Amino acid sequence: MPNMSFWATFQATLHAVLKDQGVVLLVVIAPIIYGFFYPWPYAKEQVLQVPAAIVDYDQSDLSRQVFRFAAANPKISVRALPSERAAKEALWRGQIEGYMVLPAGLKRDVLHHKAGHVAVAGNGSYLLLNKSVLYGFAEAVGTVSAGIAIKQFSAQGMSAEQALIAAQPLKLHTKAYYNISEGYASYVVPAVALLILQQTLLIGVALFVGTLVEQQQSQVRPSAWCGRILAFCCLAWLVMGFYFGWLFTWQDFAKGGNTLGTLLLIVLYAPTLVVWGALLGLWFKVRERALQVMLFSSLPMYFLSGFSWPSEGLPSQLQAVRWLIPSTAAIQASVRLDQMGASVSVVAPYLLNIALLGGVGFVLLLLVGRHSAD
Amino acid sequence: MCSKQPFLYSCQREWHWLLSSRWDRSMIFWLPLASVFFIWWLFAAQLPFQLPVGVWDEDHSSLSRQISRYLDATPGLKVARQYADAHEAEAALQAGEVYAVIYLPRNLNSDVKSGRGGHMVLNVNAQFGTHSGLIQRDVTTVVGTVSAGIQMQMRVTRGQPVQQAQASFSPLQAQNTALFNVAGDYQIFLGSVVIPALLHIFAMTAGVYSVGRELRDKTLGQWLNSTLSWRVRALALMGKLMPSILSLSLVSAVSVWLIAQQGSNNLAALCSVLFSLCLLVVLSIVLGALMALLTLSLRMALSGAGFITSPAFAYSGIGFPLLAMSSGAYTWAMLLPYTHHARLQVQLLQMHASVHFAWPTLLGFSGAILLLFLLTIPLLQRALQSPEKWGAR
Repeated sequence: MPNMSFWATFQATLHAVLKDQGVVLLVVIAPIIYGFFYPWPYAKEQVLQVPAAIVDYDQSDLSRQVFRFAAANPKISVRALPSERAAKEALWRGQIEGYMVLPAGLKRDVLHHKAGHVAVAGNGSYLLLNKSVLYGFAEAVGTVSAGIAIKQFSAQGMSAEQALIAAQPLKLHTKAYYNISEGYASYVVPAVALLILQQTLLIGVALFVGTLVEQQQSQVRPSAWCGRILAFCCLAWLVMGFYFGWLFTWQDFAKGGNTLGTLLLIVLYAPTLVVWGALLGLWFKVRERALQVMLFSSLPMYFLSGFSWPSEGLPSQLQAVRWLIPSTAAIQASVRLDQMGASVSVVAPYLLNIALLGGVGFVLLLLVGRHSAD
Repeated sequence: MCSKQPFLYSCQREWHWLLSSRWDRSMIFWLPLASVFFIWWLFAAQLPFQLPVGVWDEDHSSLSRQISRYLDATPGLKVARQYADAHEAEAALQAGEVYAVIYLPRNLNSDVKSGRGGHMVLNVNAQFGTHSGLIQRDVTTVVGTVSAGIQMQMRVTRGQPVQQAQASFSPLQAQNTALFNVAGDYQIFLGSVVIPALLHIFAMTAGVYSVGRELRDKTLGQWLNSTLSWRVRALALMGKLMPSILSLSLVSAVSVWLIAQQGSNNLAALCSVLFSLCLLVVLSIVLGALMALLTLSLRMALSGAGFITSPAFAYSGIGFPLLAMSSGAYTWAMLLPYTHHARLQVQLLQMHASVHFAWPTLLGFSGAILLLFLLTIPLLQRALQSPEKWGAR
């Protein structure tokens, strides 16, 4: 083994990998399974009909109007509850996710040109549910409120059209880019996919190299290392091709469509991961160690990537450290290229980051993994 | 292979192994402990995010400048750049230089002043879902404030008394309060639920490794022989898992202590959460042992542990609500123990529900531990009786 040439090691490695169930499972089968399993909970994309309640202490035609508008809002599914105490109890039991209180005297206040205050409470522990509840109620209240304002303006002698504008003189229109439907899966999955690809490949390669260490066959010449790296890259490129070529399209995610840029990313990402996986394998020295040690790391890496958790909220000491993990730059580059359609020059810093990590890893690997006769 | 005091013997055997293996020792204590503190630190920033947004101002009026100023003054936003035309704005959005561009069209000011109504556009990069949600909330608030100010001025010019105008610019006002979770306290909201998810992964890995290692090293026969009664086997397995259980329970206690530092001083709730977390740890360890004995392969059992524990956070309902999941995904989520602990913790520590809401979960965990443990006993006997299957890699 130590003296085998580039092509001979390439072929021998491919052969050994395909015969090793453990490596095939991690490098090929696991990413395919996770590609379907991870997006499964988010299949519906939108959160609609969140159960919520209204406590109506006013019992006027105005409060009933608010109730009707809230009931018609697709974001929430509303029921009436007799008291705030009952609403809290329902919240604890998980029967509702938020409630609105219409206080006694609401209609009287509005008729006397005093602002009527309604309290909306959402369960802040769950961001998406909370958002649906707060927005659903706010929209209902806003609609009724605008109706009252329009009536007041009309009474002052404005035309219907003028009154409509006067009730809301400055309007905001929101235009969502890239993830146009603002779906949850379309936002989370394309980013997490890069992390899944990283973890399965790192662990798979480390498992293979750990096995080689056990068999005392890990140390080889640089050309043989290149053969090993290329063998793993070929498998990884196939899996990545499956993700970007088919899975994302099938899941109907945003398609910015910089295909060449995405290809370039894949070309760099795979060898960087393989090199670092091999280094981990040399460090762990035992076949199963990579699985044992690496399983927990996905979750912290997910929050460090600056994607689901804005990097602006990370401690300043972590701002530099997080770029040492390949997935951080890969996620930023992939989302820009494949979902947003940015040009390669825009993502060049991220690609350079991945290439640098790969280059440093490669040199380290040749040093640590060199054959003692060399 | 002592049949007297099988519990103590197995416990000591595991302890000696842990003393000799630096990696395995770290995996049940130092690494879990370090990641608890790491996650806690990761969410420690109490500062607003100051997400960078851009402004494309075509109006250059007092109103458009006022809107820019208000946007920049919002704690969650930072006006990072001004753009001169559509091309520039779109390129910046696409490059991810800013997460949103607010467009203030020509004649905005004159349209508003003349009563024709002004329209502005928030172009937001929805591919970054969290960022986009925060920006939409903040920009909507700014526009609401500016709009209300304009309306009030209008009412006053039309002769309405200032006080009345103030009250009636928005006759009905919704006052939003995100219940329970103190606004922006992400340490409690995210950190405190991510930590149990990590301990869940560590615990199941530990259970797999404790039993699976003996299978891989073909040392199962050195630990026990196949002629022992089921009672001795049960005690021996308990003893073997005990070091991991004690060690990870200690880490759990440290994590709950950290949460308590954040101002939660309801002792009964904290104790219930700690109890639930320890039960989750025990359940995960037993589940790991079961997985090892089921697959008879350390490697396959670790892969299985990854499949169950790694996506558990995604299925827990914390990020994406359970009630919006498809029925298949919902069923899987409800089978996962972490989902139940996460819910209990949110109910007790964030929603301040009374402690009796914890009972169903605590009883469920205890029942599941008993059931899984009873399943491992015959599987352990099967493994002991088939030495030809030991050593699988």
